[in-house]
Amino acid sequence: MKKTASLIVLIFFLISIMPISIAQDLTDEGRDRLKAAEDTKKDRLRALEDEKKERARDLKEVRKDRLETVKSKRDELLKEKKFADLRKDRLDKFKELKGENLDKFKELKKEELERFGGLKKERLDRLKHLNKEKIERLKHLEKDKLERVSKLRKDKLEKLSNLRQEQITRLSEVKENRLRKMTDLSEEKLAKIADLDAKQLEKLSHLDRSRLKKISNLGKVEIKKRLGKIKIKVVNKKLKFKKRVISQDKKLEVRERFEREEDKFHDAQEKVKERRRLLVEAKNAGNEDAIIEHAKQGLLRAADAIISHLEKVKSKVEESEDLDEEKAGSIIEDLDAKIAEINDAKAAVEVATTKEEIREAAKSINASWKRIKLKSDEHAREVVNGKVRSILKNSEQLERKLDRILSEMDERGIEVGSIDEKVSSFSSKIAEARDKLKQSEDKFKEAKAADSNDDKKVLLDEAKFLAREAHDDLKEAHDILKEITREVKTAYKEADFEKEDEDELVEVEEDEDEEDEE
Amino acid sequence: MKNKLQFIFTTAMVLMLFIVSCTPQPAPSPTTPVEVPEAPEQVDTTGEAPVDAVGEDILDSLDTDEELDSSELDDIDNILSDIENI
Repeated sequence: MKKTASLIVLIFFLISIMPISIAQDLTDEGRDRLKAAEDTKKDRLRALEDEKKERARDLKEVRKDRLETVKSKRDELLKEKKFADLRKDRLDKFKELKGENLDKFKELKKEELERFGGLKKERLDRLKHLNKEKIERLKHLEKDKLERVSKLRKDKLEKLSNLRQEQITRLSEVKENRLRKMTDLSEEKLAKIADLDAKQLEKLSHLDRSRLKKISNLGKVEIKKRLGKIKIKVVNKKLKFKKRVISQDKKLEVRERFEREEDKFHDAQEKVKERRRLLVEAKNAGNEDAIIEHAKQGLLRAADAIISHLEKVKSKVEESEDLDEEKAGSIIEDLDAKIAEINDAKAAVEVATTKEEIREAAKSINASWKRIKLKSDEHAREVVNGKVRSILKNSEQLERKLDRILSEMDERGIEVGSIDEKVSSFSSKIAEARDKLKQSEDKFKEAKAADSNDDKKVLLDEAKFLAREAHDDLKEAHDILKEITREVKTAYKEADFEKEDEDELVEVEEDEDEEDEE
Repeated sequence: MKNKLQFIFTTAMVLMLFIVSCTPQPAPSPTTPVEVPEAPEQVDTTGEAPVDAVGEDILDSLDTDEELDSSELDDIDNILSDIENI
């Protein structure tokens, strides 16, 4: 038994080693074949490499020849009188150009070369990427205009130089920050607006991105018509976008008064609630003396609450820098008259002793209050809409500020692509706010003109709703602005948000009744 | 004998398990409520005065709109109507 088992194990062992020996034979044979193939491949590679080296040598020689030709051509070109007569620093800039780039300037006259050579090196470097025809279209530009154009980014420069010479001349009159913004438009739109006269172009260039985009979508006649309704006003440096300046002391004093009136108002409101509860109890109990007492006290506290509310509105008007002196003065005068009216009614309540007298006094106060409430809502709307208008103007100014900063970044070669997109979103949100505020102001005008109190109330509510929507848009715009500011500060630490150049101190006014511009 | 040994072994295991489960658990340490200091309300500013000033104006305008809202005076309308009818 043991023998049989050993025999079986031995047989299995022998069978298991058979494939290994077969594989060994096959490997030896394959190795020989592989070696032969490898040798052939190596030979072929060597031949290819030799061929490659030879070709590279030829190419190098050809290039060298070509380079020498170009160099000699370049040297010849630079020796030409118009180049040789250039100021040394200007000539040096041309000398630094490669032959093919220098070639683009060869048709220019000496004075034109002087202007191009007078540019900073990095600006000339931007222009050298344009083709010969495009450079030809810029050659007529005066020094400052050429300088302005050369500050543009490559894609904007390409777009501009595709225009006709006279169109380029007109556009180059526009200051660089605004020109940069305009060259964001498509080539087709840019060509369309480039046909406007200098005055119209100047006006258009002051518009924010949203307005510019919207107007450039119109036909030529419509553009002129629309521009006729737009006025660019220079803003008073001291006032900026305020209607008047209120001193800090005055503001502080008014705010303290407002707080006091707010406390008085809440106190009176609580007392009114309490007296109303006691009045109901007295009525239920049929207690005539208590009815008179609680009605009288309730009436007096209601009058106090009305007076405090009017005082609060008055404080906000006094504090507002968004209302001019005349407007603020007339509102305050009206509020003072209303306060006096309620005080008179209050005096009548104080001397009232009978239910009848109290009823009459209540009717009088109620009638006054219904009228006064609408008027006070009107004044409050005037204050709040003035604030929203001021935020809008300041936001528009910030867009101009960003245009200046982006232009500076462009000039320094800092990538601004994503920031530029965000500035456009910011501009769109501001445009939405502007539209809502305009609707709110239209409703407000209607409310002021309405005869019936019911109509007035509905229109005032609508005006308030639209102003809130404008406010929400401004808030969203401000969130975008904060992102932009942070990104700008990261990429361009020298960005100066405080600086105000003359372009930033203008405001755009759209007049619906203005005659069309001829 | 084999059965006896098995019996003794099983009993010993059960006993050990019993002893282990009866061991008093360490009392959980009293958890003192950790006072999380409230973060002061931060105004989201950028450090750039002209930008932050607009942000303040936006907040201020909303406050003014609420402060001057006359709907707070609805109670006055009610009591005046009540007194007219005493």
